[in-house]
Amino acid sequence: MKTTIKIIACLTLLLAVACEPQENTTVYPRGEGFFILNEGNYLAGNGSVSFYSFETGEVYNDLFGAVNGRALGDIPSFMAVEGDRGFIVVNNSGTIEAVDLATMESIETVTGLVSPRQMVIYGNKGYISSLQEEEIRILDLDGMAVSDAFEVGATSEAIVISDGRLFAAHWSGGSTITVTDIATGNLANTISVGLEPESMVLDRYGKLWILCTGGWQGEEVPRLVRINVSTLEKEAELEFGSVDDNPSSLTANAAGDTLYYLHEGVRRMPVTAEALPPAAFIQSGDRLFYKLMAGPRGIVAVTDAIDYQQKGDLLIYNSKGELIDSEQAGIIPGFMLYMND
Amino acid sequence: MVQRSSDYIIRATVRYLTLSAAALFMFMAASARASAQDSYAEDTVNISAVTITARASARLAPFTVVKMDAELLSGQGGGDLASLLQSSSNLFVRRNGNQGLASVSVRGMSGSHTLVTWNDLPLNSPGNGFSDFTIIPLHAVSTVRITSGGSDLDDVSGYIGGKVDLASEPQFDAGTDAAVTLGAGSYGEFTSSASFTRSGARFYSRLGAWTSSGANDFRFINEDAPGGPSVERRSNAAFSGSGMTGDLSYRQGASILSTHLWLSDSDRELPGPVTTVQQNYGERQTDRSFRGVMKYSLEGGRFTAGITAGGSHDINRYYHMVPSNNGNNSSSLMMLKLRLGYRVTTKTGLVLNAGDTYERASALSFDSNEKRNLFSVSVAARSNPVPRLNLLFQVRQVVVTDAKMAPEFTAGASWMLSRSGEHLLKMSISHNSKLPCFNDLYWIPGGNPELTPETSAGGEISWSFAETGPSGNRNSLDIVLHASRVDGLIQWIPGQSGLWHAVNLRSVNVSGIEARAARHWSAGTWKLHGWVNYALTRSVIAGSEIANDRSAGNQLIYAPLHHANINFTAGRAWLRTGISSSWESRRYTTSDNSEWLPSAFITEAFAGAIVPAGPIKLQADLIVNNLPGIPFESVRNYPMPLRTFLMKITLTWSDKPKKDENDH
Repeated sequence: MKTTIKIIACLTLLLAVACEPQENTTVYPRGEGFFILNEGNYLAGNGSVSFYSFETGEVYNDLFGAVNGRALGDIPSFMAVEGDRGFIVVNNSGTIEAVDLATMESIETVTGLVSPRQMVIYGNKGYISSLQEEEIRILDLDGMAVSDAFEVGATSEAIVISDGRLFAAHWSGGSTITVTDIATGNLANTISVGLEPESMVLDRYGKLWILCTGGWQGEEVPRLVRINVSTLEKEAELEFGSVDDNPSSLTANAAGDTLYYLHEGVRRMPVTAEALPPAAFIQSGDRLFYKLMAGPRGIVAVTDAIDYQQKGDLLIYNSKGELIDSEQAGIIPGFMLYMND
Repeated sequence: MVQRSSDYIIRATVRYLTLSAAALFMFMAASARASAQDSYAEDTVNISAVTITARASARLAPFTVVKMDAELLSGQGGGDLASLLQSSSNLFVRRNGNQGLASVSVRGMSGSHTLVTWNDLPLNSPGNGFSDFTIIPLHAVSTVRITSGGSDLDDVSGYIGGKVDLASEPQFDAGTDAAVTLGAGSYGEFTSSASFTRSGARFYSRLGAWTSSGANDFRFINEDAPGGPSVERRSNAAFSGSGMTGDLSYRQGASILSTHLWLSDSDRELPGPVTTVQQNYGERQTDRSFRGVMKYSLEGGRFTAGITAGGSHDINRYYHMVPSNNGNNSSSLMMLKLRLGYRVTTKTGLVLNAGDTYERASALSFDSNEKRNLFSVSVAARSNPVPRLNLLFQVRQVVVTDAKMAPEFTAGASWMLSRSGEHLLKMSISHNSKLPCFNDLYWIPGGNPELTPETSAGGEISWSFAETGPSGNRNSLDIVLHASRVDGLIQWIPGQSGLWHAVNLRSVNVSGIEARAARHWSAGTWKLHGWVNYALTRSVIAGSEIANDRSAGNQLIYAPLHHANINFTAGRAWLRTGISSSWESRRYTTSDNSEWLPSAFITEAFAGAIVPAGPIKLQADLIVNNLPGIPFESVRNYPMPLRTFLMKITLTWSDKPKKDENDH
């Protein structure tokens, strides 16, 4: 009897040791891949973060919720990274979640922001655009508190920093880019570009490309505008075919020599091109492409939100435009951020 | 969900049907909660006669019709209609937070598929198709009649899901009475109402008024708060409302002329969703409505006739912290209906309904004032070729501005399994349609003028049992099986431009079981009443126009598979008490059913006392909502209150002689 008890005790101990959770577990394999912000349903507060690993070829969903035991919030729209910290802008919750990229644990939640959309990091500060406020809020990344703000005279969406100047696109109902001197906070210039500048990107030559949708009611022909960030002059203006065109999601590859955007599929063009590409190099087929990311080696990642009420798809194409992987992400997969560490 | 009902079924006899308004208020004083779903049957006997003079008995209709009477409504006091339906019927109520928009779904469809009428006048907004049950106080109506499915073709146009028919029925020979109610509850809630009724052999008049207000800053638990779950107070949630109704009826022989007026005004702050932090966009909404109906009915020999004319004007204003988001909506509706009945033989009758509705709506997001005219004709034939069998066949054709509608029909039969009518077998099939609302058609951006009507085809079979024992005890049981298919369901999806637009997108298979049971009995000096409702409703997406759509085979969002409620009340001498619980199974919030709200189990209890003093009665009631204090949400991220209290005092005067408090 005693022997039996000892055996059972040993087995129990062995089982307990074997089942002991490992410390410092990660919810996703770091390395080369990209984060995906799933916006979730409007007002549902079920936004989430996923990670696609190029090494495993898999998507790891709900990273934030799994670790922190709570929802991320309503419509995570943008993510910026500084060192081992990630800053997730949660638009409709009015928050920025600072997370430890190694564990995805929440470090701090910045609250009280009004419809924040994007954040760029410059120095030790985060500059935050807003869909409802006519100012750029400044987040002190050390103290994790909003320390200041500067007026830009319009609401803003995409923001880019170049040469100590912040370029903010007045997307919602606007047609301008405001240029603010970061050191002084003074508005340096306002550039008229085209109706509803939706996305912006800097190329390898330091030129600023702006995609203007032409307005949500098709008031104007969409256009792609190139600005010299030194002179603040418009250098090029490439018009789309008609007011019925709906381009979006302008981005560039890491080298900054190729532009990508969504327009009846995925289109790409060298930054030296004099005209818009006549056809998509990735056809959308029966898909409804929502957001776009240009990855390494010519890889392109596209999201499909399906009916915007269910988990969407992540589609990955090679440089030839061939579909090489398809994964299920979270609800309304949107913004994507390439990582390699 | 705030539960406000704990009711008991009263005897539905001819005597009851002619209860005076004075007795009604005495009854209100005598019973804190009372109900009469007509499972008990107005007509458990003598049901073989063809009825063409008025609506057929709810129990005899070959499709599911449930009637809730004045006692249930008056017992609800300051409650709203949504609470009553949630706790005492098989309908599902979806609330955008406490005091927020509440819509009622029938058989798995959305609130916009439920037609709501008041004295035959549609209350659904032509703009969004919904009717907000939160701002329909029970003071405004005396009976509620619920039709499940779209089989009833008496109205000018169809609705697919179901119908909630509100009515202010005159009570002749009821004497004079007056009542004043004051209430106060948790989180600054105050209610008041007053009514005066006077009636005689030929006339009936009633004037009612009410107000309600509250800070509504209740406590709730924020499970997703950044620092961990925390108890918070709701902000920007105050509400206030007031209204008046007036009813005037005159009868001469077999004809009755009635007018009904309803004026209401509400002002509600709209709290934001709780998405990790509680949002506050400074939203506020005001709703003002004026409604009027005039009805004339005549019965003579083989012929019956009825004419109804009415109109409504609704103004809805929405305010947001960003002024460009403000909204200014208004809608108007005018209706004229004619009903002619002719008894061809003693066993067969015909009814002709012809009606016209003119709808107009304006919104900042419309190009202009949108309007349309609906004209419809329906013909119904009812027959009982053999004594136990009742047959119904009805067809309707709707003609609409800029749209084509297919003919609709309903065919059904009810068969008495026993001679006395205690057991009844019913079945029906129907094909009916629902028109798109103006927002779906004309909203900029995304409105789609090319939308076609949603259609439904299906049927139901049911067994109904009702008996009244020699001791006066009453029992009833109804079981319904139903199945239908809805095609061309209108939903909003994003297009290539990223803008959302309305399309006829999906098909839905709806099937389910509904059960209702009730018992009303005495135990010594106690009067006891218990009843239960249960609905299993599968409303499953059968097909979709979207590529790679994973919603096929899944339950529609916010359509619980299970809905149940159980109610028990007891009364003895001056004491009344009761408890009511309702349960909703999980409600999916995504179309692939990957996320859901957990099941909700809500309980309400009440206790009341009555102090009679001659023609005057004083009644005091204490109502506890959400008794166990369970956190729950009807719509995701819009928390409802934990435990709340409401104390009400009612003073009633009547010139009717005193009745036994328990003599219902």
